[in-house]
Amino acid sequence: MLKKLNLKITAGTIKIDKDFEIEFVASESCFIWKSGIELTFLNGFSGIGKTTIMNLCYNYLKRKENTSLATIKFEASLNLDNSFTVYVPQNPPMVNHWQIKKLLPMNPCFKEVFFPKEPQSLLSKRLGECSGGQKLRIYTWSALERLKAEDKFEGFFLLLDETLDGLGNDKMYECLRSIMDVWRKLVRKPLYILIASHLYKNECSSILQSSQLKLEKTNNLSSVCVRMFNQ
Amino acid sequence: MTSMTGKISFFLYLGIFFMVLVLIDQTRILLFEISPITILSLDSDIWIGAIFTFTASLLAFIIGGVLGYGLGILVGASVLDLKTNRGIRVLGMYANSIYDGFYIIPLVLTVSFWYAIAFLWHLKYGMPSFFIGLILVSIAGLSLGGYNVYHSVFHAVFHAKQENICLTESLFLKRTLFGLEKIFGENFIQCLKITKLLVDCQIHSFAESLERAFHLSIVAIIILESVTLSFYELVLPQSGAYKPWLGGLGRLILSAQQNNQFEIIAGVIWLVLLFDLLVLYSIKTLIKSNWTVFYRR
Repeated sequence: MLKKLNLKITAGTIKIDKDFEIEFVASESCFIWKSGIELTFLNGFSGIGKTTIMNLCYNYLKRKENTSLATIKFEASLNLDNSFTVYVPQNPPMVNHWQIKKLLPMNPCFKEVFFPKEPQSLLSKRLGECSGGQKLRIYTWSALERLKAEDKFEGFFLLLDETLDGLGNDKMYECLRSIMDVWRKLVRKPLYILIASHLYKNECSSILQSSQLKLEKTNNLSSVCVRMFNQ
Repeated sequence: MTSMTGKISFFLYLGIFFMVLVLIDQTRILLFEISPITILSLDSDIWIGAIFTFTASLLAFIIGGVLGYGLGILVGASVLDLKTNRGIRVLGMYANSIYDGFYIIPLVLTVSFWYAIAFLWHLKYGMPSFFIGLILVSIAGLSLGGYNVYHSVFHAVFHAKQENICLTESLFLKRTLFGLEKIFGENFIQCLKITKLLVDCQIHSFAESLERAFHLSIVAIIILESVTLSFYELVLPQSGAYKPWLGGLGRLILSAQQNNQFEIIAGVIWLVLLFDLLVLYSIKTLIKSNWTVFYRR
């Protein structure tokens, strides 16, 4: 049964545009995560404030600076101070001279997730020899390997800002499902994925058992509506 | 096509201009006396002095570049906002301000000050005179060229874009082999790695700073030679008659200026330009093969 919750985020004007301003109005819990692997989609049309929320989330999770951000609730046993966060932003720098193998461990675990058909020789290439979409996947791959390597933490956050949109709907969901499967097999610790994406299909999201944060514009203000699946 | 036509027209007009100058008696001699062929009329003192100057320039470039890069990485890591100790951040900002001041002070004054200090150590503590030379070459390298490299590294960190910081903090970083985390703390080592990655994100700016550093190293050494009497006698103490090349190209140019020998000055200028061109080509080739070739449009 679908639950629809209307939530509002904490106060403060975040972004002012000539057409509208984003004001997150006070304060209820916004992201409700439980243990295991949680996947939350953040979607809305271009310019509504998805990247702003992602940046605020990252700053909050990484530096524990509680600015104008929603309260993040998670399982009580997970200590936020003992969590580690990685973030692949929307427009990351394309450092073409980096060698791919320098961004990954000796025995990477997530190759089959992102490049199932590519040979091992991919690792000896430079980023400049890859396409734009491949570079973003390599960054995500490196971020996941980073999460796996930080074994002293108890919980992990992965933030992706339109990183996998280039794959298309079905491939993106397939990739996310693979990430979750491999993570469950190799790392028995909670992983919370927040993904901002234009690609969103209700039926696929219900298969992945994800939640959705949908940003909508109402009276020139962006507000958030959460739909929880299979809760 | 248009740019090619433009280039041909430019050289055509330039050729006509020089032909006119050659035809006029008064200018013909002047033209030959400042042309590149003046290199062939340089005497042995100039050539020996040039070897010392060019060697010192390369040494200044290497010392300035390495120390400037190292300082930039250390200061950049200290100001990175990554759970860094506030005291370390303040120390980093002070170090940056001191180096900025070091750059602003005219090189002549900096060299004179350090020459006095080094000579005092030589007299009081018996420091070999060779080290006076080494200290002065290092100061010359750090003051101009090294500062450019340092500034490029520091700027890449201090003014890094949000996306650059987010990505570099999130990528997998290989563990160091020497257990440096145990000595300096894991957080600081991580800051050093992230600083290096942030410099990679601004690699073109860093590459340009290296090229500029080399140009400025030659400038710094020639200024050093002009200010210090017989600079290379510190490195190679001589007995007997004074040898002009011990002052390097800087002193030789001053002597030529006092004797109105502008063809010698012109010859030295062309020689320095040739050396600059050759070394810069090597630097550019190295930079291209390691970095910029992957950014071809």
